[in-house]
Amino acid sequence: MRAGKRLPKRVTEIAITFKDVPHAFFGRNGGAPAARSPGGGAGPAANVLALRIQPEEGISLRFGSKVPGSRLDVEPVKMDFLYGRSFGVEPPEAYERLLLDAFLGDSTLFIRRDEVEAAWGLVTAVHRGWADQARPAFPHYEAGTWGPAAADALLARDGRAWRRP
Amino acid sequence: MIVDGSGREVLGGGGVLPVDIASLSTELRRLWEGASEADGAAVTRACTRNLIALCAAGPAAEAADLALVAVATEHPARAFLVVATPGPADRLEASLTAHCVVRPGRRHVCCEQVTLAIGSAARRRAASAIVPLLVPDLPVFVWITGGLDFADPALERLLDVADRLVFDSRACPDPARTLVDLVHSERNDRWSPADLEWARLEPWREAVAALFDEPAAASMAGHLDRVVVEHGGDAIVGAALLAGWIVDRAESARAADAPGERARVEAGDGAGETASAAVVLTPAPGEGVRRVGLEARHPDGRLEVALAENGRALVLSLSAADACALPARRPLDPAPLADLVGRMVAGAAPDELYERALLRAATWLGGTAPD
Repeated sequence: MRAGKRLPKRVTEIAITFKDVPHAFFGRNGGAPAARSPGGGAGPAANVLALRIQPEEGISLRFGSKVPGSRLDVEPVKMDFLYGRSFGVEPPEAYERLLLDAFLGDSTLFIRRDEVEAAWGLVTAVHRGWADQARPAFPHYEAGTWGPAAADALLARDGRAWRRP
Repeated sequence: MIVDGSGREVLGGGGVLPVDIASLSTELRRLWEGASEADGAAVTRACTRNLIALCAAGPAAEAADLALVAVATEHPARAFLVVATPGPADRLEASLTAHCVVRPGRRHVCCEQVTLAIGSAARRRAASAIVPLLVPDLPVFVWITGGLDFADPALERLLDVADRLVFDSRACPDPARTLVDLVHSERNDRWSPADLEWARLEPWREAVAALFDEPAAASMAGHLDRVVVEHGGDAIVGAALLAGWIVDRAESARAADAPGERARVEAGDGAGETASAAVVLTPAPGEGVRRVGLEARHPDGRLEVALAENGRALVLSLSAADACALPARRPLDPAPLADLVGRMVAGAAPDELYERALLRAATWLGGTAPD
């Protein structure tokens, strides 16, 4: 999970990166260098199912497709579903819906008081634990970038790389 | 209307639309909504890559603009043209355009282009404006039309997200230095380099490879003794890359001939290292690579690929016992810029043959082995 302020793009999404193919039939000729494949494999770039929560709500699937022709070249391609394009209207803003539900007394999208208290019970313990310890060095990053080098190193340990949303 | 290199009509969809830099994302979305409404029919939009060109204003920008349209015809892309302009240092202006390729029976929209006119102090801001507009999950190609400067803030920022850096060593003020810098650059295993000069060498590489199709020459590949490449003043890098590729292939053939034995063809550079295959890069009148000469020992033979007098063909010749099929001629047509760029953005995977040739070329031209 990656979150931050002043990143290059304001976007909320869940990306499911599929495992690399067990056998790189097409070798490295798969449309993306190995290190750029979130799965870290040496074959074609991993397939990715991205659920875009905002903006441009929708779902996209990136997968490898063989380029037409006699050569065994695989290129990443995308299939996109956009709510705005398919239904002709943009979904309401997040708080627009919440405020309306609050007016109507519909608590479907809200959590109950006991759930909030239970969640804070967990977080407060962590918060107090931090307060008892020396403040660790914070990995600052430049505004407009995708975070500190430490974030890249975190995934690089497992031979992976962050996806660019 | 633009007619691309292959003679196809490429129409500008609605012309150039000046937009506010802060609302580029919204305007890109509107561009396609507007295109659909104007036609009264759905517009097919295709995109398989991100393509960013950085160039100077004037003829370079015009050539890059035409090349982007032609390249996007073959490789649908979200394209960015960043034009460095004289004038206010903080200038950062954007415009949008859509290119629609007319194909039989349907209209196929294949490219959307963002053009940024920037001043000298706005290079990093321009790159920062581009990064959020890149289409996710698709490869990013950065094409530098002039000299390659790794200290350029725009390039530095874009290389963070690039899969491939396309450049032209011939356009660099000091091509040899550029190659050495490239080899020593911090690439983070993220992006791979692609030199348009390597694409120009393709007919030469095919011709050299064809030499060894001749049965009398087949066994010479692992026994090359001397590699001579004659080149015009603009093609020192091309000559070094070609020699690097030949030596690399010779080494590979030698290893195949004697499995387990360490290949002896290691260098032949100007630094005076001992080498079993001497590499000689010789300046000659004219442009580009002019001649490749190969000499082998045991079996003895001489192989040559030379530019024909009219410059439109490569002449292959072989001097060896039992050789009869050569000489032969292969056509050599100058490739337009869009063609060269198109080949370099056809795939994002590293070109291992090029990178091996690059290492050798940088060693010879720079006089030092890369780290």
